[in-house]
Amino acid sequence: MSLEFLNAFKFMKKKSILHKMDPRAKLLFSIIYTISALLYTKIIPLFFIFISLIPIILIGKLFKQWIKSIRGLSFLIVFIIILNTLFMSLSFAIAMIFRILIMVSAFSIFFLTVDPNDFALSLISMKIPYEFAFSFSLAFRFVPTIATEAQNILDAQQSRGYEMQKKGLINQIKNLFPLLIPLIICSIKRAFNVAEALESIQPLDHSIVYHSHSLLLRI
Amino acid sequence: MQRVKELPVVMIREIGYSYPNGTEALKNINLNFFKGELIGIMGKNGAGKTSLIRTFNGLIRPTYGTIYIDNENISSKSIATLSKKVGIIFQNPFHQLFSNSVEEEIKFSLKSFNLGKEEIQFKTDQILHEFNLEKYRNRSPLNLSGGESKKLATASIICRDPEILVFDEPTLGQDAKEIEFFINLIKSERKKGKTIIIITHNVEFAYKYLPRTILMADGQIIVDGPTKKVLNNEFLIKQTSLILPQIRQFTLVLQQNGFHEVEDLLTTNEMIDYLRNLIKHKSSHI
Repeated sequence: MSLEFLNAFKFMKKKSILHKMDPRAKLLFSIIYTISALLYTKIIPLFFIFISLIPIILIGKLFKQWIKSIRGLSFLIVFIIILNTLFMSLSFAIAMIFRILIMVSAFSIFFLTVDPNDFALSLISMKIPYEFAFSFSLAFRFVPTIATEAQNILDAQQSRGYEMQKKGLINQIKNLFPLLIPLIICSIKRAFNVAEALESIQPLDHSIVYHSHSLLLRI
Repeated sequence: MQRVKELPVVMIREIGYSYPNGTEALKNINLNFFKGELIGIMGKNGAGKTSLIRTFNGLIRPTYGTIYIDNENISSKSIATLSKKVGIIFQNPFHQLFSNSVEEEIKFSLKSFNLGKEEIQFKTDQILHEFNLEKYRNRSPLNLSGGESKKLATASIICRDPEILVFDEPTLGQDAKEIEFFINLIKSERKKGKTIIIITHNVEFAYKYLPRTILMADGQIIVDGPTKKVLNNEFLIKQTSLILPQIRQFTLVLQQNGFHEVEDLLTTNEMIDYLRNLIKHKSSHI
């Protein structure tokens, strides 16, 4: 198995109306879709909300990446179906699947079409304190890095016989340790390195970091 | 490089690979690697070196073309099967270390062979001894130094006894002692008949120890030949963002100063002999 589905959250430069839009509009769009998904518990409204996302995905030329993200969720979908069917009902389980698909798709659209630097600029222009905007954009910036690192870890483990597909839930959970432990350790190390690098350029000069180019308001 | 009568261990025929975003990482690659060969792959960052080695054990599948290992087409073989034949040691050891102890880390690599407990213990003890890691047996791999963790990552692949060993930048961040250990390791593995492929940017290391070098640029092989010839070619070196070996730089300085006969000197020993004769000749004229 590949961790390619993580690419569904990696910004890709493309020529589309969606890519040209202001990041704030896209953030608002993702939040509205998430809230609307949380408002309903019935299949029909959730289904229509989900369907309404598809033309947007097509306009943004994001169909391939979106399909990968959905494929990556397959394990979670099975888990949701089993738990909700056992403790609630099948119709509720299906509704919950639509809910998670809407939330993942909405944020997938946001991450795929927003450049991390533009995101920081948009937060600053929304009068969000610089430190918070910077931390947000840094976290956002590291999503694709972590995705690449996760793939490298999987490659390194597979090179010594590690197999992802194992039968049984407990085995599958146990089987995640060779991936998760190196990923967590590498992420913590990187966080320390970034912190040290930032401390070494203290105090942060706002004008150099983000105000060197202005955010163009589009559409 | 062609060898008559002998079948290559790895045969790469017209392979190419494009990433999902459309970037063409490999273009029309044709290569043969023979049993017991020691090969270097060099080129600037983004030339396609790592993509090429990832095709050897199926981590990426070529978009077109075929790879044969031991005369078998590997396109339908799983990574787990291929990893028994091809061992890739990646640059960052921390991408694979996760166990509670160094000993457990080695045992994890042996798990997929369905060996008995005693045999796993025997092989683990053997490899820990071979890599001087016995004293760290019960230590967490995460508390090892950079050099030691790289050693452990290498040991965890070599304990699987693959017939083809691929190293990605093995000398990077290693001190002289660690590089010496690595050189002795590749010598002993080669004696066992292993085919060894090394990706490196270290020109001096390649010049001294690798008999054959492949230079890559823009996903293509631009030259494949004896290292000393390849790395002395100024035109090729410029194309791949490498630097000429020190011995070649020295001969160029000598040539610029009128010593034109040094053109064919390729090794340090040849240079020492030349300089010794020159000094003898000059002193006999005084």
